[in-house]
Amino acid sequence: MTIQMEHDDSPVFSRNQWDLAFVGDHLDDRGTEAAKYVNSVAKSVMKIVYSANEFEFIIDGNTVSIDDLPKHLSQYINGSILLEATTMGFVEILTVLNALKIAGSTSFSILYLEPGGYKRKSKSLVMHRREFDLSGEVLGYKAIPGFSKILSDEIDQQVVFFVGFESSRLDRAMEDYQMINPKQCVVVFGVPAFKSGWEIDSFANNIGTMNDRKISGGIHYCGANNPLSAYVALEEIKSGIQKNESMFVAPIGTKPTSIGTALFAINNPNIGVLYDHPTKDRGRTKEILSWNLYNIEIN
Amino acid sequence: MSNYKDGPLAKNRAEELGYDLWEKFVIPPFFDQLDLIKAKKPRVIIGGRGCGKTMLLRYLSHQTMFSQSRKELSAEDFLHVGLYWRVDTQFVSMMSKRNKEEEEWRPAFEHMTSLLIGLEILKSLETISSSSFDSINYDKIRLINFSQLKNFDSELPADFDTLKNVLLNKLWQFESWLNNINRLESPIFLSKRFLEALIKIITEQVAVLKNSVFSVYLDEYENLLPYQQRIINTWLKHSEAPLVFNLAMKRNAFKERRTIGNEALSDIHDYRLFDLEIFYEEEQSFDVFAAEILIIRLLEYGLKNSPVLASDLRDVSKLQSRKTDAYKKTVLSFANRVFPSVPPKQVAAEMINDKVLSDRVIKQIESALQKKNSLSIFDQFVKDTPPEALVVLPALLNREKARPEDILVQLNKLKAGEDNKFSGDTGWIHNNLFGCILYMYEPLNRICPLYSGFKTFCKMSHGNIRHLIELCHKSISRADISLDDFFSGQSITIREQADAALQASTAFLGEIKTFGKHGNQLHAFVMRIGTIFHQAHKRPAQSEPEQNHFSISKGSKQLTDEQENFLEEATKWSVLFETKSTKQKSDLHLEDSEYVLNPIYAPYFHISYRKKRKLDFRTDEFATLTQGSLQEFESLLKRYIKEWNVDVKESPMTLFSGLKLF
Repeated sequence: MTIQMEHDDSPVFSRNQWDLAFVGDHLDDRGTEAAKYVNSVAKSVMKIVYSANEFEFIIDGNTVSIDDLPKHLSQYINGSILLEATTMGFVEILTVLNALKIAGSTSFSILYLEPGGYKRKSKSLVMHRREFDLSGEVLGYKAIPGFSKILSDEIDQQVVFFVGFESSRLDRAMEDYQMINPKQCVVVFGVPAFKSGWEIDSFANNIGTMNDRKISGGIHYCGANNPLSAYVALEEIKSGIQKNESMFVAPIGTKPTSIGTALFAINNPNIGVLYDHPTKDRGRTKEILSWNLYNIEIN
Repeated sequence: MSNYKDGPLAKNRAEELGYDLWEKFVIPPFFDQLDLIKAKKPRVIIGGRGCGKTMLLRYLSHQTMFSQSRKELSAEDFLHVGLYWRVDTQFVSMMSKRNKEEEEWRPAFEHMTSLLIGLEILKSLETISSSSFDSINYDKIRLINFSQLKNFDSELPADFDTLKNVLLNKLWQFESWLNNINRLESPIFLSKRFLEALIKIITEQVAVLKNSVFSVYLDEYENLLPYQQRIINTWLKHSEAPLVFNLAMKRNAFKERRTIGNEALSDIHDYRLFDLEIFYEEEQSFDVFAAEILIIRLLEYGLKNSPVLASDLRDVSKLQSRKTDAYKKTVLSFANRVFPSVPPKQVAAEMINDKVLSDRVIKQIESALQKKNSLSIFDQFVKDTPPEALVVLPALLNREKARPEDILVQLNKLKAGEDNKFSGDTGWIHNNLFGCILYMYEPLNRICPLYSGFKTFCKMSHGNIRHLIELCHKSISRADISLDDFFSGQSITIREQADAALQASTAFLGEIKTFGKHGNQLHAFVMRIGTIFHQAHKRPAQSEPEQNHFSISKGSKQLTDEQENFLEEATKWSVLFETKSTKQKSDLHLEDSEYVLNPIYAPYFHISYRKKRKLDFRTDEFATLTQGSLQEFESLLKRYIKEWNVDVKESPMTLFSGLKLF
């Protein structure tokens, strides 16, 4: 598999036309910009949104079960394909890539707009107002049909966590899956981060959880905006897996590392994916740091 | 303390201790009341996080009961074979919807369950064969003929080793099918009859297991889907030797009582229910048990001169001797020595010896007298006054109807050794000192010494073994002594314990976000209610000291279903504890339930951990706390602050400065 990566301050890429594009819900300016670009460069655009509770997608207003997705999309997959990853969630990216693979589509592009800023929690003792704000229900870890494996004490497993700012996602995984052996958990930090210094927030937020939960399977690093480096990190970890061990990946870090995970998952059907289906915050990010286009060839 | 990081108290979760708990498990004081080993009627065990449910179930399971560390086994011990089973809830959740009705998913769930429990049964045979009991070994296990199982699936082999591998393969096959239901043919589904047949084959061919009852202990039942719970309920209802199903779950989680048929489960008739936290409510019971757990862990690490033998703590026959007053005194004495506390009177004395605190107390007295135009008698209040009286004086003087001259009369009686309201029945010191100490410490950014002591740790833990262990662990980690000195009898200082309490409290508060899908809401609710209690503790008059629990009176509206569910969820996760109200304060308010904020959060919010006074919320106020916007909450908080005459500017720039209170 090859991933050719293009970055720029604006959408000036080696190609500017696709036959079919997939987008998700756009909840902020970054998403709106991405959707606008996609509409201008794709002949046909399909909006796809996943409901984890129902195990189904809403695709341009139609309900499609996750099990029927490859068959449903096969009638549309033709020519050049673009996935707009800024607006699509991880499950949408994973399942569309899987549908492409089943349909025999071996090359496609993925667009991602890097954020220029996030709401960051202060590290001081002053409690952020957000701590008092009632946020919505968090679905939590729920299986993605097609990519789920049973977690059991019968089988040794190694779990790889790609982490970002929010340590509660890692904490929640360890709370929900108490059969995970923390000694067999690997944490992958996004270094270099989107912006220099952001990795410190990720370290600071996650180290407490790693310490408390006694996660000690090792630490790896990969570029936060680099799906290829995430893929390579997973290959490296997989090469160390014993014959009777299962491998699980939890892409709870940056979107590019989630893209790397999705690509790895479709090329390695024996791995399990753990995902917590976070609710997307409206207006969470505004500035665009850079436009990234990943052109992928699967051999 | 250096080199302590991985010490005996570092592991505070059952999952960290593995399945073989023979050397680690302390028989709980109520073990004989549970009658779990000989029981043939199913048990339903209820308890919050950290109360020891999982530890208990793992203790009863084959890995512990037939541990190689257990040197003496008799034939009677094989009458019960425990099988621990915790469901992978994310995986089982896939057996729903996806264009299939529940009736289509039922056999799939039953098949998965049969495979998992079947594998566990085979595993139990391996454990038994490697135990210290001479009459059974692996060669005998390998001779078991499982050929009758072909009636369920022709691929099932007759020999033990291959059967294990085939069942594992079938589990993976099932996993593949479940991920690709449209593209793969469904496997042959096994049912519970398979398990019954498997057990029958074993009990007929293995002499020592002839009369054995295989007890399945299903942990975290609440995480199953409703139709899955109904299947399990059916199995529970129809449980009989040699296969019995038992359940464990959190409080408020046993909602589904239906079975697949028309019958519903009924308590007593179909099962016996045990609430572990009720057993702990007899206070000494938890304190002693907690001390015993502390001792057994320290013994592992090299504790010398232990007051008890580890073997006694693991021996069911020694249970009664562990309930004598003399024994309890010995054990608690040890724990109290390691983690000493400081009585409030002594704290007050130390406060007066501390310039910063003493200045604050004196200034508060001065300020209160000034408000009442009685500054002229200031010297009479402070001269030769016992520290504990000095500390409560500001509160007494700030009370609206209080006359300084009257208080002075009582103070002079105290100094003269006569009957007085400070130390007598009116209990001015007894009722106010604790709250006043917290009040004096609050703005100084210092942790209060009241959060120290083994007894205090037990109160803050409220039956949660994990919290207790963590408090002890953090205290020992922070201690500035060597391990040798610690094991030789040196105590952990008050300051180190109190610091540890704050650290643990903060960590446990953060954990709330992981409490299921409402975790974020629960966390924000605790922040809000904790803040209100914190402000309540800052009332200068301390007329209702130590407010840390609440009730909800009728108000203008009834509680909605959503709010009732929220309270249930908060109770389920032990964020709140529900108790029945014992007092009817007035004819207008007849509250049935009171809700106590988990006292483990008390150090974080600098509030009392003792259940003393409550706040009575209206239903609309409760709605604001649970569902209101941030602005609505700030308005509510400001109103209370104004009503209570709290000086928010006095607070350090810590917890609440993010809120708009000015």
